[in-house]
Amino acid sequence: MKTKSRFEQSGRKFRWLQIEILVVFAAIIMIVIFLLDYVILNNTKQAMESNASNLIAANSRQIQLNINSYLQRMETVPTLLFSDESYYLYDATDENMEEYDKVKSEETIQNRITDIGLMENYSDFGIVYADDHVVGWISHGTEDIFPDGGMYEAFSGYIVDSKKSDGWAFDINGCTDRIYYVKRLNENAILESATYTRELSSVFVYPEQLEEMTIRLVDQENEIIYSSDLNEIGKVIPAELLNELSLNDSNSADSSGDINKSVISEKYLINTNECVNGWRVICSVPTKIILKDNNQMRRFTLKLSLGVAMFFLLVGLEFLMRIYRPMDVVVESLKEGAEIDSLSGVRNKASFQDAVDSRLGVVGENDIFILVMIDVDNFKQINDKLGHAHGDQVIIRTGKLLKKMYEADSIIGRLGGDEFASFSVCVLSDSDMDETKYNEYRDGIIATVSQQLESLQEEFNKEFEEEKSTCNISLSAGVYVSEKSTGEKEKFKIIYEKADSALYESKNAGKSRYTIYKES
Amino acid sequence: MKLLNKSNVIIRVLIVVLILAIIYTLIDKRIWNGNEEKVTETQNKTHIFLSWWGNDVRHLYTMEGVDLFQEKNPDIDVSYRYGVWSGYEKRTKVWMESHNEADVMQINFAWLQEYSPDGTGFYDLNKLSEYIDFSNYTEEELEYGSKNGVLNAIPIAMNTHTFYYNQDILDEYGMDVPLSWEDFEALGKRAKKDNRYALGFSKKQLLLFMIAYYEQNHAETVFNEDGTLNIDEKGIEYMLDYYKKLMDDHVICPIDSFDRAKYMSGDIIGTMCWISDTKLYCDDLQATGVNVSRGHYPVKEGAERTGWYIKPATMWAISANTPHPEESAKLLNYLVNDPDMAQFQQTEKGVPVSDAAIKALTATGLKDTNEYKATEELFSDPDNLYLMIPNMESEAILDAFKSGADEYLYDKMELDECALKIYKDINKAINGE
Repeated sequence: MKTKSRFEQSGRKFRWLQIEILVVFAAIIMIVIFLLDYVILNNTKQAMESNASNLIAANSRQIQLNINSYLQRMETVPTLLFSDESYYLYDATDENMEEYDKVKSEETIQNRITDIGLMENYSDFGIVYADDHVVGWISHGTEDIFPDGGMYEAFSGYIVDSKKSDGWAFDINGCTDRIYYVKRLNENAILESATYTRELSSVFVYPEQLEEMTIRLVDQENEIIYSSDLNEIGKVIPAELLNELSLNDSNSADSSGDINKSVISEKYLINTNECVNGWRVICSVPTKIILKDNNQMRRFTLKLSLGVAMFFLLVGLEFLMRIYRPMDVVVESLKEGAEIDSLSGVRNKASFQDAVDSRLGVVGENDIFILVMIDVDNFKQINDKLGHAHGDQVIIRTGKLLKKMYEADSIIGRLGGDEFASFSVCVLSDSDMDETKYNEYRDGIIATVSQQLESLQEEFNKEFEEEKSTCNISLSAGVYVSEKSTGEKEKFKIIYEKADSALYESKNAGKSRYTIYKES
Repeated sequence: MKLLNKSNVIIRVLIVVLILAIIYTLIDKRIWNGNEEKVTETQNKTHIFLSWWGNDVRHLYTMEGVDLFQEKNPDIDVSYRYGVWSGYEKRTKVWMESHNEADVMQINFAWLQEYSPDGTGFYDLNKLSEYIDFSNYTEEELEYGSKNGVLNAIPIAMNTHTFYYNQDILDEYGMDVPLSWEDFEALGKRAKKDNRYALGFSKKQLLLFMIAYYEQNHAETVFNEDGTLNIDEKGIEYMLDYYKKLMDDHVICPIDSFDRAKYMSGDIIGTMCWISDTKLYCDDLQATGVNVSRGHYPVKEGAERTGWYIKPATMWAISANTPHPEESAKLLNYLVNDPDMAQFQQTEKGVPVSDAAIKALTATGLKDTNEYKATEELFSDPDNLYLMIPNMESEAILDAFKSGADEYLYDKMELDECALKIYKDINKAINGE
């Protein structure tokens, strides 16, 4: 720190302070925006989830109603066979009945089936008797399910509602392209009707906005009867959906039963509703799809907040520049005032000493530095004879002359009154120079310095020709040229004393001359 | 000082440019569009209906085909109605009479006469030639779908009857595929010992079987070309008597007892079916490991007429009342001429008539199919096959014959009494009473 000027240190601190203020300013803005984003987007996310959940629940409910309506229609049509006893009491297995009566009875039943079967797109609509004899439309697909018989027995097993004596079936012996409704007509006859699962596509209508929503109709064993993804039909519903439905907290979406619920998890938004026959409608949408817009908005606001922070940073920078630029000028001015001698225009003593000490701290081992102490001889006579104002002019012009005569990288200072000094460094590129060569080089430098001083004196005498004739002013100088370093860094105070003693010698020797310091 | 001022100006200009760039980059267009009017595109599709009859296979591939059509024509939405053949005619009658028929409908050949005797009952397809590629058909093929000079329907395939037999059982009995009426009787006699039947089929096949027998033995047609009966009650009596004999001798399984499962299980040895039903009665049985042989329709030696008929298998027509004829025509053209639809359909309805469909199927082995082989064989002698009289497929006439015959078969009426009843009932059906 000693090697740096106080003003440089202060200036550097000041600039750091400016940057810190700007960074803190931008950071605060970003944090505020992030917090606001977080709060707003979180609320938005919850609102979106809630809205989507309600929409899906409504949609699921609508599809449940559609399916209920479809299933109830499918259950209602066969009841028309109960309009006459001849339709539902006929028993094809009755051995006591005449063959002719059987034929006519079945003809009657067939005609009835033909009439009421008009009402739907049935794949099957017929009656299966205990001996597997059938009347009506039993499709080849259904026949092929029972190549070895057993149709009646199989359908009997699906009658689970003891009150209505009916039931629904899916995936009988691997047949997944249709759903069956069976209803007992009498103790030896079962009505069997079936429709293709594809028919359910007409009830699986949902808003196109709910892209990637999968709607499934599943039976009690969680086997998929129909799905908006047709490839799923006949498979068991994915385990992760079942897990979500059973393990997550849920809120009842319908008070009619515990099984109706909505679940919002990290992965899925799921809604399930039970149909009249115990099958369930399950709607699921990946949560990321629901929150897609929200996530887009999150990315957008992140970019926006970064942009806003950058905007404020730039605007702040501009404001700070506006605020601090005049201050910089003042500081620069103060600094200059503190370092530069106002009269001569060269460094004052303190600044000169700091600058020289700083330079001494970085000179190389073989570098040669030169301190020249210069004093205006008989300066007092100028003040006495020509006045202090003229004396000041002499100091000013001497300062200018010194700046003119010495190279730009030389440090020039006014050490007091009529005393000036110059410090310069000669950098030697050859670091392995032997002592002889070094001394030769040093002697060359001394010769150069001597020439410079002679030139300076010559110029001084020209500049102050009038004052010289009036007051006999001249220049005396004492020069210190460093010798090969012993390893220790030189100090200004030491070399100053050496150069000063050389100056003293010049004065004592009659002035208007220079003396090179030599170690005694 | 001047230099300092100049650099300040540059820095400020740079800051302004940077800020503008940041704003331009970051501001989402949606923010500027926030107050703009939002217009959500709603579906604006033309909705048309399609109806057909068939079995599982036909239902499923038709639905698949419709899905693809909707993909290819996203501005057209197609709903459908379908069912099994049994009762479908009645269903169609309900729709046609109530004017609730589908825009595009599968029709039976006989319905041209029933619903469009003057050619106005269905849409004039010639008016939609911009959408339907008629170049895939010969004039003769299109003539099958014309009434009174108006093109009402496009045939899907030509169809006639063929016979399939469980060859393993024939081998077990040491018998050949029946080719004559006597061969049938012999097979029935043998089958009766095992409580089997030689043949099983539905009431439509029954009537056609009996018509063939009658025409071969009497050298006259049962129906006139205008659909009226060409025979009297004695002719009915002749058919009825032979029918009872065939049933008693286990040549024909009782119509009400016939179902495909019995044929598949071997309780019934053979069947007479449309070529378009080859998959059901040939391919499916072969798939169980049974050897299946195709037979020929029986012809009495020296008979002047074979008594066997052909017809367009089924046809596609457009409702005369459709509000969307252009969209309906696009669908119809897709159903008969589109290569993708041809691949869905294969030979399920017989060998297609459309050249485009044949071209598409030829590339995937059309000539290896049983339907193609049966068609090639039966149509190799076209002079002995006659164009079917639509009334031969009339559900009312079929019911009158079958239901009336039951009275005689189960000894509820005498032969002559029953024949007279059937004769009267058929005439009532012909006259629409």
